[in-house]
Amino acid sequence: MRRLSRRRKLLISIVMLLVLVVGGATGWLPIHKVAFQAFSPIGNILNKSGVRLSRAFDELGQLGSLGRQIDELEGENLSLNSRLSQLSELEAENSQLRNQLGYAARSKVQTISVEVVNFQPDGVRQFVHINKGESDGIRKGAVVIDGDALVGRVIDVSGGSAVVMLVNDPEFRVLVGNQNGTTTGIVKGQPGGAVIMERIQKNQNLHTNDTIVTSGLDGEFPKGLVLGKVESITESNDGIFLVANIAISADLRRVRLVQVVR
Amino acid sequence: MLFVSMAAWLQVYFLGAISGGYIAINLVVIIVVAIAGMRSLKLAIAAAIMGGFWLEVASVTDFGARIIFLILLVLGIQVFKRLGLLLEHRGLFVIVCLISALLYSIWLLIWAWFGLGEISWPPEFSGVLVAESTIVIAISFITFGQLRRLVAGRQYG
Repeated sequence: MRRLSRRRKLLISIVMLLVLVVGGATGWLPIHKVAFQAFSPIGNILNKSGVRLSRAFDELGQLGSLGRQIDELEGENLSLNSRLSQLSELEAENSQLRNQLGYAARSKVQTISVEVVNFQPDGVRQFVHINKGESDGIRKGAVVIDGDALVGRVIDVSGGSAVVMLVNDPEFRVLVGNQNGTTTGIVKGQPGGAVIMERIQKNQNLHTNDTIVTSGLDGEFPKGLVLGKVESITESNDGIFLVANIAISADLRRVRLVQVVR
Repeated sequence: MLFVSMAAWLQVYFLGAISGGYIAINLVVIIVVAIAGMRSLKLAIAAAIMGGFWLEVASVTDFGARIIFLILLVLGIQVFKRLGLLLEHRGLFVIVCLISALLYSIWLLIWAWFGLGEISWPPEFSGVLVAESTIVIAISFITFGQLRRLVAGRQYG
């Protein structure tokens, strides 16, 4: 009798687990969205603390290189330094917002400024959740930028949040070319965050340090968004094309404020 | 369960914001290894489901991959325990955490490969694994004593 009861318990647990996994994976159970929305206030607090700590580390690094200059400035004191560190957080946000106006102002497109809430918690795929969604006018497929640089595209939207696939995700694809239009290819992400440009014809004129921009030929991304610079060029495995490693312009490790093109 | 949930939230939101998403600081894996090594199978399975669930919620793709991995990890450690290898020594605990974290990353890469149809192993991914492993070694080494007290409680305390 006791054994049967234990078996039943085990069976119920397994069935519940299967429902959870299959329901979540296929999307017929909105576990993902409901749980994410419910716990986003805790997430926001933890994320902001993490961002502050991360910035403090950055500032520490900057202080090291500024050490010599600080020695030369006789009048500077500790109170000024502490005030500077408080202001630098606001200054970084301001300069990021000013930079973001670049593409939007030039192309006269309307954008929505959003904050990154969290990153994908593994090094294989590259996604971020942002703090605005459908109710703020964000739609699926919208392009996400940081100034002139392409950051990714919105792949999922709910009421108050959205998911952005970053340019360095292995599933991301965009048609690109170099800035003077002599080369075309496809940019895609790699596990671990690297970005490569594939399908480059051997007779095309591509050099290291060339700037890679979106070509606009796919009709999904506007023309002229910066991807990055060519770091190195090698032959593809089949020997037909060239492959270029791209150093991406958007600092995806530190991306906090981005713009979604309406 | 709250302990595992807190570790997951810390990993996803706080540590994720510091590392910027490229490198996962696998707190949940470390805690599940500790619970599986020092407590009952039932509790370890529950911890694996709870920890895995929060990682799934914060992840966008491959729902279920993390929960399944953590359950398999618990079962693997159970076999380990039956063979008489108990995670009572710091060195052994660190090695098991390191192997688990490495397997976790490779497991997710395999799932991504199934999902996308094609995937490569660029040098950058090896770099990510090295960085993640270093962090796992450091965290598991430093926190072993505290984890033993927190997780095992009276059994070892």
